[in-house]
Amino acid sequence: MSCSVEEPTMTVAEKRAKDRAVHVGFCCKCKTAKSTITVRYAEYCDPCFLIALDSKFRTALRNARPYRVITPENVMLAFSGGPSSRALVHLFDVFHSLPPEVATNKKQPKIYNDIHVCHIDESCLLEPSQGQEPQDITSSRSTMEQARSIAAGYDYSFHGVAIEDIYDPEWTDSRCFEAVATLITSLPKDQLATSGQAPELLARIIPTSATSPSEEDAPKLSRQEKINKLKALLGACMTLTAKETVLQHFRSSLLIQLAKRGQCTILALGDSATRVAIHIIELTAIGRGYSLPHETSLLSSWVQDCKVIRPLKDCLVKELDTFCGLNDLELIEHHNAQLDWTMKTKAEVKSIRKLTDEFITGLDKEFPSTVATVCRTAAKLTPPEATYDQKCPLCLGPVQAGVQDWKRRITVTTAPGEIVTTTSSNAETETKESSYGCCSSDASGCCSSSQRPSCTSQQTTTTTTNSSTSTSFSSLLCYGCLTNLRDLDLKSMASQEDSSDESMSLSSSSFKLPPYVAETIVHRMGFASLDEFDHRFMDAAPATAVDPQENLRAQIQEFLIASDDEEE
Amino acid sequence: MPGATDAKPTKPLKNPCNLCQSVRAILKRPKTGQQLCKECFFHVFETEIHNTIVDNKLFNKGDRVAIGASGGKDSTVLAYVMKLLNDRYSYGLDLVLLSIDEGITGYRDDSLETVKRNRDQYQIPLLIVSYKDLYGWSMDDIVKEIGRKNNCTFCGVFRRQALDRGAIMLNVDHIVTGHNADDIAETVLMNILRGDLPRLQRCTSIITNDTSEDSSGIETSKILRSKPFKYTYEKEIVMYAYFKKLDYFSTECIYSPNAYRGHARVFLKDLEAVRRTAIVDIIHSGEALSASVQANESTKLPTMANCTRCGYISSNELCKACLLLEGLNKGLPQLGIGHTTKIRRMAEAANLASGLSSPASLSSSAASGAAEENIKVVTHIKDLGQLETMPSLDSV
Amino acid sequence: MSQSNTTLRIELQFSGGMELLFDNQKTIHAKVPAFFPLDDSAEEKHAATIRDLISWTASNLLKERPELFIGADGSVRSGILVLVNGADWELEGELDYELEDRDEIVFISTLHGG
Repeated sequence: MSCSVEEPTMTVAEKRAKDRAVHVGFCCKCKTAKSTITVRYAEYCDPCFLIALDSKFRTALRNARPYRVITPENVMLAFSGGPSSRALVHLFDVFHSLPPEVATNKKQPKIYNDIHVCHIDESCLLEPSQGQEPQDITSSRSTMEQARSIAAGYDYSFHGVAIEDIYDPEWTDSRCFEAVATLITSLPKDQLATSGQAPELLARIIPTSATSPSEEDAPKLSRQEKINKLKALLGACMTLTAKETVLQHFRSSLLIQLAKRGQCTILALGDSATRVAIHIIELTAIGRGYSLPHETSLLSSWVQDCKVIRPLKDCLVKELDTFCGLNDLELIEHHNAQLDWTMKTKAEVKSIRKLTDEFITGLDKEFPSTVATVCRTAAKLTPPEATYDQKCPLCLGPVQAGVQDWKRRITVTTAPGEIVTTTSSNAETETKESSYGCCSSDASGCCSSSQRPSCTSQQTTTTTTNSSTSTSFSSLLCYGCLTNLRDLDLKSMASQEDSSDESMSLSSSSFKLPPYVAETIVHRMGFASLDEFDHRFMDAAPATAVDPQENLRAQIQEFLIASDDEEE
Repeated sequence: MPGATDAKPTKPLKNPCNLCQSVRAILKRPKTGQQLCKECFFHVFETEIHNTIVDNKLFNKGDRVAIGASGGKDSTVLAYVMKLLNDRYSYGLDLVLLSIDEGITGYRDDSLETVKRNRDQYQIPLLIVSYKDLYGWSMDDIVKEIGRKNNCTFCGVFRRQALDRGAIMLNVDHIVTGHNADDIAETVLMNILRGDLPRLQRCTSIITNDTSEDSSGIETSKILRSKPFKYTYEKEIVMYAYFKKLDYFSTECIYSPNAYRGHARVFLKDLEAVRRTAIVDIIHSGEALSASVQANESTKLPTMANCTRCGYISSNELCKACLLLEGLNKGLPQLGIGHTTKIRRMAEAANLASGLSSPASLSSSAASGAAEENIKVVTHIKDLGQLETMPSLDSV
Repeated sequence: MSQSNTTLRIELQFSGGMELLFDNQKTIHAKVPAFFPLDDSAEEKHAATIRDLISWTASNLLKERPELFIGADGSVRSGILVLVNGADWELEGELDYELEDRDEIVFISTLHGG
């Protein structure tokens, strides 16, 4: 059938390098020193290796951003503490330290104005060591001070944030978005497993504290509360893949905020070629092909007012490891949260990322050009045309139109002879269902795909006329996030029907998405701020009905210690 | 409606079907996680394929459609379902089975027996075209000549053209193949790993013909090809065949152990085990990536012409099959493998040097030339029943 | 012959190419121990599950290339479908399904050519 696929072949450069290496055991550059490092097919001695790596970095930097820039920009280096980002910090320093003869030449323009370093402390998600109380981890294993001191060694300004601060209203575009988004499902619990289609997820915007964000003394969430919320959400993800993916979105969101706070218009990531290659396959496997070009390119201009560059994307992780070793660079141990310890059984500890990592690493051993080939493939892609305003509330990536429709079109979930019925009690989804209904009906081949309007954002902006505060969350999401949220433990999530029960606030407490998500939802719905959203919703609510949001707020107070300043 | 006869009488009804609620479920659907009984599974399986056909407007009423049949699970189920849907929804298609005999003893000869049984069971006429007849070489001959390295290249190029030649003989408009969702997801991964964006686009499009984008000289034909199983999980195809007791042949091609593809397949199955939707998620990604390619990569469309030797559509003077054949016949089997342009140049130079620049004068083309003659004869034979009984083309 | 309370009569079926690993036998009527030792301790035993059946089959019936049958964590290799009494084993608890006398277990390979 399709067995005629050949293996990746060596690149021209690799062949040349291989041909050149006539003197096995000697450096392919200087040809005099004994080689100490083998990179794919080429052998280097230490000094030649460092020169080669540095020039690779400079080339990438130049390609990402032409030197002939008029105004120098500030750059934020994302520093996790691992070898790749450690090398990034060091290489930037070498690059920026002009030789004295150039530094005295005033005409030489500065390419980067200020260099900042930022770090996300993920110690609250590290596996507790024996006998350690989970609460103690943050203080004892925090990576922040180590990251700060490394940055100080370069005289860079340092910005730090803890991963749990994703739940802080401060870490949003408005820097004071005092609300989270709570998810509920459109389906009652007993239909969840049987419906076949992923249930529509609805979001409610729940204020976290006083709605007057201007108040200086507005209560802040305690660190432990934020950690609890983060852990509750990750705990509600039933697969390691879902946990890792959500955490990655949180990291990205914080990094963008960090860059903006440092007045940086460029965010530099330390992604190595190895990392990018794994990421390309992983993104493909988790259905994120649409945003893949933005997430793996040397330069991405997707994020408004903040370019993202990956100047190490031509360097193998092995090269960067060697680079750190040769320069004796200090690394941070346990810098990235591994979440596999949160899984209960051994069978669950494989995630798509881990499988991909093993796959690419193994393949690259057998076919050493794999990583480079995969990276080159993705580099040829053009980023999709999407507008940043319409970004996915969870991953902040581009949203392709009609993703729910695509999923439904390839899936039949009705019994023989059954007329398609709406599976949701939500008025908004009903209108939508009727628009695609024909394709999931049985027999008499009905549909031409052109008749089906796609679930684009225009539809969703009009969905708040419902008396409920719920707004369709699924329809705002990109395909990847929609897929990922299927791994949420929906059975413990409240459904729309029982959401007014007393039990709701308890059972749904794990499905609180951070303020940045709530903020993006509100923006996607066309409201400029939380206040505006609140007012609009209040007006729309029937006068006779009990305000469901008020009801919710009252209930939620019991669980939110900090929000004691309710205005009512 | 089905009765509860499938459940063992000794056991109470457990795992009721999510759709009809009244019969024991026998399958957990990877795409949706639903548990379904046999009848409901048959229904959703068939209806999804029908929807795929209708949504993508794969056929027009009255089309003559060849089903690429290998005797394996996918094409066996495809033949069965195509016939079933054609009858149920009155597509008005004129269906024929088209098989390629690569000439692999102990593999294809057995599987062709299965195809012949399918022909009788489903009452669909069958044409078998063989490499030996078309090219003068069977795969057994080729492997004897070149060994096991690169033999899949020959097989792939020859098969593609053989299917088209068979389609021309049968006078069909369209070939459907049994590529399933797993195959497509695997090919998406393979093409990313190999950096082949044109093929990435091709493998994700459900229907292809010569107007589709092509920048790497992949030879195309005027005959439409489509994959009605594009969104159908391999697991469901195998389960469908099992529950329908369809007769299929399963064994590994004895020449095909392709380590690289094997890795990708195992990886894909591991992904599926971690997340069942991974297969369709990869296809979704593949479609999105293909859309991202269009803007730049596929702009370099080669100009398509006809092969000067066999007349097959080709972006070069010689089509890839003729190039490979020439290599075989001259004892230079590396012709056409690897860096094609370079080797083409070498071949042209060699031709000039030996005074064999005119393709017509090549003794090596005798075999394919003879086949070409026969093809013309066969195309006029409209009675397919007779066609199948013709043992091979060279006896005409 | 063993007593029926110490062995289970299990009908094993192999198809989709799976039979090639079992000397081309499509059906094997096997007598499988009803109990297996718990975690290598010979004292304690547990009722036979599919997990036990897979390793038992691999060591007693399999003729060639065990890597094409056994996968990670004592399961079958990814891509092999298992049916328990005519139903997808994913509905029956997969590896933890407890075997009963006269059960019919089917192994179908999806990895063979189509």
